[in-house]
This record gives sequence, C-alpha cells and structure tokens, in this order.
Amino acid sequence: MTRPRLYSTEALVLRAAPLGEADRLLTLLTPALGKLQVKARGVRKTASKLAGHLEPLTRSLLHLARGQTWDTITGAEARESFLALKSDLALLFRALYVAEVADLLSPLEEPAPPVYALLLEGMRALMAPGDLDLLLRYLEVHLLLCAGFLPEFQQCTECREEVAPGRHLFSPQRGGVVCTSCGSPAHGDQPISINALKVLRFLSTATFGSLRALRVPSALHRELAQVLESFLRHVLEREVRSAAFLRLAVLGPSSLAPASAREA
Amino acid sequence: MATSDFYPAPAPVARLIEELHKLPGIGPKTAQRLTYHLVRMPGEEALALAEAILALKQKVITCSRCQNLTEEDPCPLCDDPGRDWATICVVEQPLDVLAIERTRGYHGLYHVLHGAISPMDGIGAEELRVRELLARLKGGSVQEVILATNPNLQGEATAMYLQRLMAPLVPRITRLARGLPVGGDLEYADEVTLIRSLQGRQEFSP
Ligand SMILES: [Zn+2]
Ligand SMILES: [Zn+2]
Repeated sequence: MTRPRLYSTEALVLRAAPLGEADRLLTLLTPALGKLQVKARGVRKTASKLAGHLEPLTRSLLHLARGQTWDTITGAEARESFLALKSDLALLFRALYVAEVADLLSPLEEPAPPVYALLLEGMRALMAPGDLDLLLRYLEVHLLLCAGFLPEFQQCTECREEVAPGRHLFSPQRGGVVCTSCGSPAHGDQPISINALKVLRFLSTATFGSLRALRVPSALHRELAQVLESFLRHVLEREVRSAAFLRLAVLGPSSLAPASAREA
Repeated sequence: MATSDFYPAPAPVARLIEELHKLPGIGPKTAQRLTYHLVRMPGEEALALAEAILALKQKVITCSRCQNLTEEDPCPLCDDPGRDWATICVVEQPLDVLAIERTRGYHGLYHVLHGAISPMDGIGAEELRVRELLARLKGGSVQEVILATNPNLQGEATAMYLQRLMAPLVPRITRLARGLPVGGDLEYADEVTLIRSLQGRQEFSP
C-alpha cells in the first residue's frame, strides 16, 4: 500500500532496536497499515521528547514522514502506556511474549484491524485479575486464527474422521489433530488429551469475557502450553525467543503461577 | 552502485567493506565510503589504525571485579583505596561508567553488565555479567547497590530482575531517579515519565 508523504496513524509499539548513533528502529502494529518498521530519530538521547511515547508496549498516536528506506516519526503522543505491565516482571515478560508472537505472525504492511484490536484487548486483560496462562493460550490461538494458521481441533486433518477419545494425536506438520490410523508418534505426532482438545476448541470460539468461566488444572495448563508451543515453532520455523522468560524461576511462585494453581 | 554489480571491487576492498558493515551504525554505503577513504589514506596512518585495533584486542581485558574494560586487573578504580567499597553502582555499558565519573559526584564502585535483559533478543541474565555481580555481594561488605540501568523498557526489566535476585544479599537497593529531563517542558512528557517523576519526588528546600 502506498502511503502519503506525511501521514498519521495509531500504533502499538511491538519492539525497538538501536539504529545508528542515537536512533531506534521501531516495529509497529497499526490497524489500517498493518505491521510497519519505522525510524525514530534521536530517541536514545536522555533529553528526547519523543522517547517516552515510543517505548515498546505503548499505544501512541504517531505522525510520520515517508522515507527512502524507513518512514520517520515526526511526532508522537502516548495514548495508553500499560504502566502496570511494565512495573511487574511476570506481566512484562508475558506482554513481550505476546508482542513477539504477533510480530512474527504478522507480515509487513498488510492491514490487520483484528490483530490490532486483539493485542490491545490482550494487554488490558493482562493487567486484570484472572488466569494469565489461559489468557496467553487464548491470545496464541487467536493470533494464529488471524494469521490463517488456526490448527484443526475437530476432525482428523487427513481422513476428516471426527476424533474419538483416546484415538487421536496432535500433528504440527499436518496442521492439527489426526486419528491414530493417519498419524504416528514416529512422524513426530504427539499425544494430546481430550480435555486439552476441548479447551482449545473452546478458546478458538471464546471471547475475552468468557475466559473467566473456565478453570484449568495445572497439568492441563502445561499440556496446552506445550501443544501450542510446538505448533507455533512449526508455523514460524523458529523459537519464540521470549518464551524462555515465561518460565524464569526469579519471577517467583507467587507471581508466575496461574490463578488456578494459586487457588489449589 | 550499479556498476559494482558488473565490475566487482578487488577482493581486499570487498573484504574490508564487509568487515566495516558488521559494526553497529555502519550501513553498506558508509562501509563503502570508509573503505575508499582508507584506500587513499597514507600508509603510516592506515598502519597506525590497524595497530590501534590490534592493541585494543591484545591489551584491553575486563576487570575481574567490576567487569569494566581495563588494561590491568583489578582496574585502577576497583583498586583505589579512596573509593567507597560498600557501594556498587550497576550500569549497562562501560560508557555509562565514564558518564557518571565525569560528574565527580559518585565515589563508590561500579559493576558493568555489558547489556540489558531483552527477551525478544534472547538476552537474559546468563548473557550478562550477573553471576559476577552476585558473587561480589556474597562477602556481605556491600551496603548499597544503585541500579543505574537505562530508564527504558529493557533497563527497567533488568533493574526489576536484579532487585529480586539481590534482595536477600544486600541491605539497601536503590534505583537512579527517573523523571523529567532537564530542559524539557512538562506538557511534552509522557505518562510513564510523569508518574515516575511523581513517585520519585523529593523534599524541596531551595
Ligand atoms: Zn485420519
Ligand atoms: Zn574494576
């Protein structure tokens, strides 16, 4: 999409990398223009007026000028800073993980209003009480859905047979659940419990509000995380780097455990 | 640049362009410009530059205590009996030590992390000099650690992370005040800067 010489857009800053002496290369998610990479000049200087409005995980109104290699930010006004996310390591690492998955799943410059809305809702939900791990799984499923990679959870991707309890496997390579005649652990297909499948089906049609109704025991939580991690790795053909930070011991059991485990 | 596709540069030229391009902040065009500048440079100047780079790699080591760059171990700063050994100021980069030293307002020791935690880049505590920092605290003689990482997302994450690790090891952990830049206008400040400035406000007695 060609952009005018000067334009404005709202954006969520997904990440920032140093560029040159004092600049940053920002990866933005915008509703109408999709993912953009733009340059922010001088924002690494302590006196920069723009820097605070362009930190990762900030929703800002931006003014930009089209450039040869990168468009450049000429003005920025933070609209939502998500300060609570940035003041708690366990929340911050989760938010960065979601931003990284969204970044990796989004092609450059393709309009993505649903992804944008989903991310903002996700950031707000992370700051509210609730089962944060279930929220991460919900966001993974819906980011995959928006990107057109939602795994099949209902019937065997090969023979279209409805899955029967105990007679199915999960196959990242084949895009979802397979029956035991079509799939095999020898081909990297992995066991998946019927409860995990039920939760995944629920998540793919659920809304943020309905997550509260679900109670997920911690063993099931581990299984869900592992299934989606292996599927994401297959789709992205790489690791999500910030995933390792979700499991850091330093975050402590009180802050890192899902709500369900805290209740137990 | 189109001609170079048809008449490739001599191999040594191409090699230096490639090497310079690896440096931070040096794009392909700048790498080319610098290389052709070096081609025209007198032999002894080029040699002096090459020797300076070599000396850097041969003579500069990291101090086993503060991890700062030095020619001798321990570095002169860690070895100075006039410094306050009970206070350690934790910074991201060696350049940050220079910046704080220039103020002449700090008399404790330093610890250089050589980076900041950045989950999306896969940089965690293992990639930084965190273990060395904890080892310095185990002796029990350090009374205060000042967290002077950058006031941005990665610096804050690093500060929060270190605070959790060090809390059992040192009586006092402080964070460099974050707030409004001198010379700025309040109306341009973002919400995070303003809130942190309010949180860090101090008694005013002119
Ligand atoms: Zn089948
Ligand atoms: Zn030293």
